[in-house]
Amino acid sequence: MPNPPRERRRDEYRAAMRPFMEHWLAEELGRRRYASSLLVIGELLADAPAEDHGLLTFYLGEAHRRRNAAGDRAKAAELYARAIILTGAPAATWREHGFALRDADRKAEATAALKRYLELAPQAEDRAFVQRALDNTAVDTTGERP
Amino acid sequence: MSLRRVTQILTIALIGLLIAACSAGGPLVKPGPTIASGKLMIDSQMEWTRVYTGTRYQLWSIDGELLNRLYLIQSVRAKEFIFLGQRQTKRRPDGAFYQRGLRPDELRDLILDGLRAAGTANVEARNLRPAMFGTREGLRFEFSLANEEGLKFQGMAAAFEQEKGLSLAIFMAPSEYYYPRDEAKVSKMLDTLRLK
Repeated sequence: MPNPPRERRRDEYRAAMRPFMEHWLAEELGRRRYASSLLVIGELLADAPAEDHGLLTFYLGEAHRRRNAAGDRAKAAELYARAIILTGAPAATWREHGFALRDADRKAEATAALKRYLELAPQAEDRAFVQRALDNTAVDTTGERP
Repeated sequence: MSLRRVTQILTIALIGLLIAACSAGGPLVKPGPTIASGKLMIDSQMEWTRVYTGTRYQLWSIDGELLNRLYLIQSVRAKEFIFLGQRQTKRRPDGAFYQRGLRPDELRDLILDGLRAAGTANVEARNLRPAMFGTREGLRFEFSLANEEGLKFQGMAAAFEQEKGLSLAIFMAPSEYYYPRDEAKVSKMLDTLRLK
């Protein structure tokens, strides 16, 4: 006879919590205690269903980017690149992926990612700044400077 | 001097002290261009009381600092807490510490995290936008929060980077009555922030 499930109604619980997750993750990072945030988000990610992987991977990247210790920017860039192909990644993933690509001097890909962000979040409050970054990045899709 | 005369003088002195205690105190800011802190200038739209005047920042209020407050910081230097005070160290690496060259949204997050660290809750920003302060590019945004007692506040922030660090102005007042009353005038004031 199989053991009964350890966690009852886990999926219903997660579905009920999901709309609040992004706000809570942003608040968690707002504490600026990155060692504990990395631990918490990492544990959540390890236990999360596939539909939450994009969101949690993005916020794991955000914790690294904001901490900005040695190696954090590279780790963040790697996590953003991973998050954009996962389910549930917020639009901001494309923005951060775009900025990481810009910093790596991959301007054509950066332009495409930042444009994708503005497509996904046309009402984004940082639209003016991202548009300016896009104008400054200024490459066409072949990677040539105009 | 008679006892009656001494009593009169003491009474007048006491009344004077009581009147001084009832006012918000500090030198008055009059409408027009004024020094906000060090080399930081602002064109005031109304009268304010300088609640605190230091070498690094000033705190202005209209009705008392619990009802409205305007922080004017001439320069937050690299590795300093965004509202001054603590510094980033190896033993204290995490916190709302200013670094040069942050993106506008990172600066906004830094200011919001500083407000959170000061004990406020439900901090949310809106309308992040580019702004010019004299010849320098910077940013403006509005925010809302609740203080430790749960009173809801609204506020606005203006910031720009200059040679010595980050110049910063933050206004906040209760959402009920005080913020809407002064919002337009203070917003106009923050647009005039500049270094002389």
